[in-house]
Amino acid sequence: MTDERNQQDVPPEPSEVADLRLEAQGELSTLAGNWGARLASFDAASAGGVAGEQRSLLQDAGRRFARNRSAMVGLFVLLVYVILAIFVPILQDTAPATAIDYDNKQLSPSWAHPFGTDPQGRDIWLRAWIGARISLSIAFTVSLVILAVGITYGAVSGYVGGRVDSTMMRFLDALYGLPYLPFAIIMVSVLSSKFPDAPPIVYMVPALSITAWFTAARIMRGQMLSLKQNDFVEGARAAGANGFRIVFRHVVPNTIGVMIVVIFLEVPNAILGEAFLSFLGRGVQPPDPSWGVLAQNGYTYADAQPPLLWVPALLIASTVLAAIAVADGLRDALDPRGQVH
Amino acid sequence: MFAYVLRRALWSVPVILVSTFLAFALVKEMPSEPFTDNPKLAPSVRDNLRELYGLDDPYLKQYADFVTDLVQGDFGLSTKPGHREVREVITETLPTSMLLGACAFAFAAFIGIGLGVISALKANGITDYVITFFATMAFALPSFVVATLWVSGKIYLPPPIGTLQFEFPYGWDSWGDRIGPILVLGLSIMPYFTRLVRSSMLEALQQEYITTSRAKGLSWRRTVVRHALRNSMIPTVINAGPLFAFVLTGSFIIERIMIVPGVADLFIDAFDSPVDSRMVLATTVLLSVLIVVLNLIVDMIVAVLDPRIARD
Repeated sequence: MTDERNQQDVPPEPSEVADLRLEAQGELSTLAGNWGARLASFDAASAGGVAGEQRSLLQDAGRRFARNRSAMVGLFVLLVYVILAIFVPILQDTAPATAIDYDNKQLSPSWAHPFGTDPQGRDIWLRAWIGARISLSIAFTVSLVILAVGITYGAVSGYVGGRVDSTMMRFLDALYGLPYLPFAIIMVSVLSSKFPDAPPIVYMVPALSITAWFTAARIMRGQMLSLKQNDFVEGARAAGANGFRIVFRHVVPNTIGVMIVVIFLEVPNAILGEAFLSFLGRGVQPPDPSWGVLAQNGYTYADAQPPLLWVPALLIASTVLAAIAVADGLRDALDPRGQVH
Repeated sequence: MFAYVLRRALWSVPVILVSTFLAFALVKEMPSEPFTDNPKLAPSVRDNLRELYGLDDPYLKQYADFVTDLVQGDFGLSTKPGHREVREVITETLPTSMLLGACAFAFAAFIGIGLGVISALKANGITDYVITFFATMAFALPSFVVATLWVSGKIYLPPPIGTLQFEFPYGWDSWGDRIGPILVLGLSIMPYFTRLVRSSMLEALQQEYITTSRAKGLSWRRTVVRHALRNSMIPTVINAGPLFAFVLTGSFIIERIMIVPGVADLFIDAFDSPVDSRMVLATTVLLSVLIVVLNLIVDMIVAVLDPRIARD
């Protein structure tokens, strides 16, 4: 029984030896206190040779990322979606996406209409990629906003420390009590009435970010607490740098790896959040075909024309999966010790 | 322990104040005060109504009045046709939503934690991959898609078999029907449990106390249950509060599709112009309070699981 196995009974498999060695080397280089050195020693170990020239942290991470098959597939899928979202509405005539044409309703897929047409005779392929523009731009903007707010809040809290830190964290606790969906719906309602002609991104981004930046702030604070112990912070202070400069010039750049992971972790949430709100009719408003709007439309015709639901559903699901794979791959690439798990 | 619980309980008062104030401030900014945009109202009637609802009072007085009413259990009158008491409407529907949420949560926790533990014990084996794949799929496929498919009862298979038609139970009339919404909603949060438990269990299994307890001669089963599982439950329980909040709001979409008479329809329809601000406010605040109370309970459970937390 594998459950009963422990390391004394059964000789460890080769991969486990590699893992153990990796751990040991990780420990050793942590003593040196340098993440980059740790990564470099890992790469040297996996190449089976002595450490050669030192490569930069990002080069190393990129190399490891490129070896991670599911992360590369995820990145490829995201890139294809972004490219199609940008170029399909430019290269193709977008009129069939909006023009109601009952003569051509519910057509099966063909060259003219790769995904067929909906019950109003609109081209599903075009609507899917115009929707991708809206959904993807909302998702990535939300991640960036969350990141910016989270970095600032977490960095200040972690750097200043003491009473300020505990108050700021308590306030964050208070905000954790906010129910996500009601506040998002209220935000959409407030903003879309204040800016009636604005594109959906204007009201969707604040609505989806308002209750979503807490985790990023927590992570950033944790990073800050451990990084500010480092000698380079002391050095910067000795050189006369002020708090603002130390935080944003010296410490924040060191957290870039973690923050990139946060971006890709937030994309799935934002994609699903947009779809949820729009599906309920309280997100992107119908003439704009976001994926959530398309899914809502597909739900209405789920019995009559299943592809209408399947196209947005699969686009949403594959984007979420791809972003998760990229986030996992990045995390592993930036912290080889994480691969032990 | 008692002091810790008391401190956490006291802390939940400002937490509730912050969330009610945010809700209040945002709802104040909402479009269409019910009486300003109505051309059928004579100016004098409108002014009287505004006075009745206290809409011309100073901002903070309105907020104070609102909180006072809230504490006394008075949520005001709905501005929708019928002008029913908001409290009455909510007490009719919120228990249903909470029951759905609680059942789905229990189902998801039970299955999710079980799968997470199995996944961690068989880490990187075939079972682990199957569970992880299943959990990732359940996360990625939006719950409204699952719910829609469930209601339509169709299963799409490759050509020789084609589309199969089933009758899956849904609705809320009998417990037989309730299985549908509970299962679909539970499925949407199950992956969070699985992922959390898997990673914290793996972490726990690498700790030295595991080696120690094995060295003491404790059986593997006992070590896992007594030491690894107990310690890996802490992060899971800490996250249970936000997860339950997620279930409660995630149920909105399931309630709509699977015809559950919960609070969702009420809340979402309250945004149809003119916005029924009292209904929106009452629902939002109640959900906030519910989450705060749940987080308080979670804090207490964590303190029991890990006495070190209560000591500082």
